[in-house]
Amino acid sequence: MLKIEKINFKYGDKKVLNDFSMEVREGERVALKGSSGCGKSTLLKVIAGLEKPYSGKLFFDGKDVTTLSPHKREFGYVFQDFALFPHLSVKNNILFGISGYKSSERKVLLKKYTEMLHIDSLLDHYPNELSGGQKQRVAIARTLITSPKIILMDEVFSALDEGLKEKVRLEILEVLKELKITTILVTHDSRDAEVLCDKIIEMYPI
Amino acid sequence: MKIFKIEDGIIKFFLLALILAFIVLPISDSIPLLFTPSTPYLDVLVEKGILWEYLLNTLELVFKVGLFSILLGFTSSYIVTMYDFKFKSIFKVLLTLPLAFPVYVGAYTYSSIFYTNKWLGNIFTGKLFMEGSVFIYGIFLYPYVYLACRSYLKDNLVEYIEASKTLGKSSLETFIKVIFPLSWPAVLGSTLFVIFETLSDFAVVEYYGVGTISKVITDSWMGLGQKDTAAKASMILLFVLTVIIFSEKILRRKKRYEGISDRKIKPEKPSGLATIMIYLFLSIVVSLSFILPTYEMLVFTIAKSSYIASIDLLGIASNTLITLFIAIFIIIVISSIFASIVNQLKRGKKFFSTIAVMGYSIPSLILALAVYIFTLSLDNFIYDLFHIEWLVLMNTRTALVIALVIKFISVAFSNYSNSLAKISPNVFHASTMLRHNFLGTFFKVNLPLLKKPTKFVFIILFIDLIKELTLTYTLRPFNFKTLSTEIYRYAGNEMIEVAAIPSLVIVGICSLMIIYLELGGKNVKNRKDKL
Repeated sequence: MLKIEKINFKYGDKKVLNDFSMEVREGERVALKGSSGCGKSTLLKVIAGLEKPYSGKLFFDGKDVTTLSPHKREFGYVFQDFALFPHLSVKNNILFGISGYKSSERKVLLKKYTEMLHIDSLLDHYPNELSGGQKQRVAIARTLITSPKIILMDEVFSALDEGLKEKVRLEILEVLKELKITTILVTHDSRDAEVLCDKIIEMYPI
Repeated sequence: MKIFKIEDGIIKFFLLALILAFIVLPISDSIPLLFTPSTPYLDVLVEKGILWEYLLNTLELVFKVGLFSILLGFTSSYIVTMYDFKFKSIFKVLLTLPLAFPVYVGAYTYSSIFYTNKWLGNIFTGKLFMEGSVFIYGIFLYPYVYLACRSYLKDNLVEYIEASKTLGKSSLETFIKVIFPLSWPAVLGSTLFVIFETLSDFAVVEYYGVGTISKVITDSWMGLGQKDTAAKASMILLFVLTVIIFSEKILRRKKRYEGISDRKIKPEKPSGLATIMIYLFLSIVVSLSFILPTYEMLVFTIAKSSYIASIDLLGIASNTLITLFIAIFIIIVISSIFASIVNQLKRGKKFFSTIAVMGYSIPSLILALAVYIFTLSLDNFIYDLFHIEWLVLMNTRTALVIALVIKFISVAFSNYSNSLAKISPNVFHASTMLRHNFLGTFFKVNLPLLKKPTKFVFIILFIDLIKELTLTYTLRPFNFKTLSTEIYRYAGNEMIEVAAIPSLVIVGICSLMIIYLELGGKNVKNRKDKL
């Protein structure tokens, strides 16, 4: 489904990814694990199209998407800091990516994902009124509602406290399994990788 | 644990009261004049509908100036933040340089440019641009919006833009749905500054013949000597200002969206057509706001270079500089003490900060009138006491310095407050624990920490004060000449070419200072913190 071929990436003179290659099959949940500075978040951004590699190729379903802009890739991205739009309510944050859909369709999808992630009571709240766990669920719902071909998750559990982490992990796992969605998770925490993913790729700084 | 000794509280209370009295007392002294009976001049203005017309003109002026500044300032800041193109760094500096122009200098210079370039005059001196005044305020004040938005866009939006793009939105959709709504509070806040500056000036509207409330104040005070009429008209201007401030608060809904991380936006290379549009837009803006008027002034100065000897430039410059340095010194001393006290307060921080920055939002004419009334009553008191035959305070620039301090203390106070707020409170607690009282801590900890911001505070104050006309013109001692008053005098006597000489001195010095601030990494965006 997703094939990465010899991707190279540099920040200024500092090489972050060196001839990195990997493959992800449909429905697979892959963890990119490693210490900070090993380039795992950069790789996720390259996959999303937010960063451009200086060499290498990225194929999705056999099609070269290396230079395709992020909004045309139809991948979903859950940011480490969730990046919820502070000027929009929870409801409008979640609907942001499907504003072109019919109203009735949007209603159905909104109900489905907010119930699935147990945030249906928060729709009129604003991001600054939410806890870390609630923000995370909203960010995931906002991404899932667009029916992405792949969901990319960048250290999404790092902002949560230890007590909450395990519960949220299991809940998210349930959702991902139910939707059978291809997932790439970036994490430095072995437990995240073990619980959520069926394949773990270790990355090391260059 | 008790952090401060009792005498600390007394010292702080005494200093706070003294500073507050210095700021508030001169302003409050004009209040009784508001309750005197109406004057014949005011009655005529009301009966003939002139006052109403002037009020509408004032509202139209600030609305249009605000819109024009947003158009120029926000667009320029968006371009330089989001795109990477050749000569960008030069454009970035050039876009800030209109701040070096006092608006009245811009008005006088453009009157000649409009005369020789009729097509330009036809565009910008019509009803839409209210005889040219909207153009002048907008083109020379938009850098307030540009600087605030440039800093906001660069530092706060990267995550939201990325999120929008990964949610399938194009650049245009991202701009409409994310960038502009998030930047809106910063846009409004900085536009408010443009409006303050517009309301504080009287020379531009006077020169272009636009009747505003400022005209009523100047005519009644300086023309007819009717302080009470001027005070009543001031109330109308203050009412306009209050409406504007509240509108801004309602529109902004008290929001300001901060970025999530310290990542900065990575500018993109624009497409071919976009590159042409960018160069065209920026070239027009910098040409109209800096290059063209500077060129015009240079031509005038060369043409009238024989006048330089007769102007007594040295005497005028020394008058300007001495007044300026006295005011800056007092501002720096007062604001550093005030900011240090307010920084340590557990309650009332917001209240005292508001008092300190209040002066900046009061239109200069109103402030001048208030200080004039205050110092006049003090002079009368001194006469009663010592029978001194002349007005001690009015004739020794005391009134002028008091007004300058009240007006511009916010610049220094905001910078010092921000600097102190970034330092852990434990630093000050440590000093107290090491047996230093407030004054000891102030001299040994606060002052050394405030050394760095003082350099920038000094430059920003210098730029603001050297350009200042309204307070200087109205409160200067008799026959006291400064660069700004001489520009006003020459321009008023239809000697615009001669006025270009002192104008060029101001613009030259301010330009160098702004370039230094821009290249020195600390831009003038801190001006927005005055509020």
